Amino acid sequence: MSSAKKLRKGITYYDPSKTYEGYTLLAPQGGYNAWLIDMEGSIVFNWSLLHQPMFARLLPNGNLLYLGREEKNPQGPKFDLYDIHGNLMGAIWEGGFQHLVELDPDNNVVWQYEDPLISHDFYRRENGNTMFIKFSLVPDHIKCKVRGGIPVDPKTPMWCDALNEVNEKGEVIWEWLAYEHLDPEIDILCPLMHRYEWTHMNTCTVLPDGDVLISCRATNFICIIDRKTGNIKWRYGPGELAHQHEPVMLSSGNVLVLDNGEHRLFSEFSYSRVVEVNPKTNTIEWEYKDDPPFAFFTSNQGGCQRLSNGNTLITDSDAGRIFEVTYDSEIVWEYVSPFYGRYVGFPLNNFIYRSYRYAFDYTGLRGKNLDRANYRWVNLVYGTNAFSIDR
Amino acid sequence: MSTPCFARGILTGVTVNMNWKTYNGFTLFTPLGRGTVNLIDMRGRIAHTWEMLHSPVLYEELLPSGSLLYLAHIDNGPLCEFEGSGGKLLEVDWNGDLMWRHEDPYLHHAFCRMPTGNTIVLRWVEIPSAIARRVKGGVPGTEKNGVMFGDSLQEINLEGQVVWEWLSYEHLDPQMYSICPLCSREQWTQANSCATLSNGDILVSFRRINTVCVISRATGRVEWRWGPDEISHQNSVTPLANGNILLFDNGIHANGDHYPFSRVLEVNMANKKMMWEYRDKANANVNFYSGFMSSCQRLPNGNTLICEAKTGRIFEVRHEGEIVWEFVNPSFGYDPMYGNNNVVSRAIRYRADYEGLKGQAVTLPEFGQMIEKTEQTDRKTEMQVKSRLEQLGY
Repeated sequence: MSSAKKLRKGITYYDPSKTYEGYTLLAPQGGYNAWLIDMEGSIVFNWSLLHQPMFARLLPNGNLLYLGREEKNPQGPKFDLYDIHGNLMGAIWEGGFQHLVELDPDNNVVWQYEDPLISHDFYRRENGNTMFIKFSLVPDHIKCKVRGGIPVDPKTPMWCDALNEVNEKGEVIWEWLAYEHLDPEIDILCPLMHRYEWTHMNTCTVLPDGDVLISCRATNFICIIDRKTGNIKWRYGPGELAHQHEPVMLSSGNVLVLDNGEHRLFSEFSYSRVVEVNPKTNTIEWEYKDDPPFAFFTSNQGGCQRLSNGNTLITDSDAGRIFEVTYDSEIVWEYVSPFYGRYVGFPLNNFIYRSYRYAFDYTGLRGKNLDRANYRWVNLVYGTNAFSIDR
Repeated sequence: MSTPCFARGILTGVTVNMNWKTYNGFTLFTPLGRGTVNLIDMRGRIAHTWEMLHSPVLYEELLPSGSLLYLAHIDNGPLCEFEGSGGKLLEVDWNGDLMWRHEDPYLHHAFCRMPTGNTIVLRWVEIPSAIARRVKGGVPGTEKNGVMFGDSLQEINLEGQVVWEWLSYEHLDPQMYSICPLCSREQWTQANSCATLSNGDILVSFRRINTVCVISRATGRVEWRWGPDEISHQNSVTPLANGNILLFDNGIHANGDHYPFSRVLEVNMANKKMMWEYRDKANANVNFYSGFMSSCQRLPNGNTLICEAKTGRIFEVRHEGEIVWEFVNPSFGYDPMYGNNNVVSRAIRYRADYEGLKGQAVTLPEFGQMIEKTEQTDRKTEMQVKSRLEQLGY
């Protein structure tokens, strides 16, 4: 590997006067742990997970809720992998995230839900219900109307997505099927993606009024779904967004979203950006781009979070990098994950799907012993000085 | 004003130099945005520079005569907003004095000096609307004021006369060569490299249709073609002595839903099989990916010199893929499209006994300015991190 690209690990920059102070939660995809780190990059809390995680959230009750991957018998959309000579090497499944697990601070399982078709995102509502995305097949009479994409064997099924809301007992109390509400004439599949999937949903956030904010990656749009009718109330993206992730509703009513930029129209080079969109006017009111733009590019994953002081926490998944920028686009905190592992079909990597910053006064942190000395030996390797490790 | 990304780009200058495994010589490159052509030695020391006053289009060549042939970008050309637009082809001697020039506002991307002294140039031409309408692909309705541009090749002699011309739209089938669906219809093919083969035919790379063609000099017909569904938006297609071709497959706008990455390929022209590939095995997307420009050069000892434009990184790999020399351009410049960047669009290695370097006074200061600059930057960053850690009590 290139010497110039032996990235520094751990904290590479920190300006305490400008950051939003708190703890950052990350669940490296190649491992079996969720870590809470402080602003200096030291580990202060840890959960060991039963599965390789997609990502984890710290709930206000102090528990951890994560989406875990099942390694045996994955289901859902399957992609064939070919080597450079066109030989079939195997297949990877987009699905296989079948475990939703809630762990208490002592690492005991307090709630669990399983479905072999769960994918990408979940959201715990205040009433204790959990919303999540699952894959569902597109019926043939709609499949033939879907436009765009690269043709595949007509016998191959085409997948889209569904939303399920389950209560604490695990009963499905609300369901939404994408193919019933999307319009094949408007929701056109990216021309460079195979017709294995139509939508590839990757975000489902329940808004306070019960509506759901979703993101469909393959069709390049984000939208708000009316909870009562299932209809799409607002839609934004084609022509502007490219394979985006994690739209977030802000208190101002604007929507923040990570625009990954893979397969971006007219692009001479690949770059990611984070944009804040005003849903009333569908205009972009804020944008973060690196300089040069291609220095920040995460192609297939990533996330963003607006912090209370106006800063934005961004997860650059491909590089295992989490960084905080001010409203003026200045980087004031940067962390590169030193946690390497193997994840699905990828070589050794430090991917992080999403990460979250929690302020010191967040209720979910109450009562936890967050002393970095508890993890003294782990911190010697993975803590602040981890940047000295070359991989 | 945004700050740079701290985790990357800390090391610049020569970062690897296993001089017992490298093909030793001098490396020629021009950072984007300025017209300073650098010739550096294996330790990153500047051996010679030329100030060209115009920013480069992609590259320059050191001719066996010792002069430099350089394609310059001009700001007021009719298509100057197109990527890779040129305007002036300049030949200067070792001291930078102009020896020959060819001006044409439609020049773009590439050129090739033939052994006869004539030069093959690439230029844009308007495609007749009857043909443009039949061209498939691209984003509908995105022609430049209704006009689509295509490529042509011209052979220019020393007097500047056109002695041979080839017009792409006379020989390419608009139904077969379709534009990438993410690209605009301002251009059909966007050629970005050209080279002559031993029989006089011309090897051309067309970026937007993901195709490499051999064009017959006698008839203008496409004698050989390869690429669609195999490569995407390739650059720097060069013929090798063994009859294969070497190319930089940029990988942007590639089919399918995977992490984009670049690779360098050697392809057998007879059976269209890939004979050799370099890609970063550890994390191809993060470690080796430049969607634009970039180059590759097969060296006589079998090593390959690769230029990853995006990061300004020039490196030499052995056949097994081991990196034996690496250099990162430490000089940052500004470009309206690329921002504050250290992009190097192409690089070429010349052996020390190369004919064009003979008799030239190659001055090598004991500690070249590039190295000093690099070490200073490195030390400064390291000091910042250290002092920060000390403040935090580590």
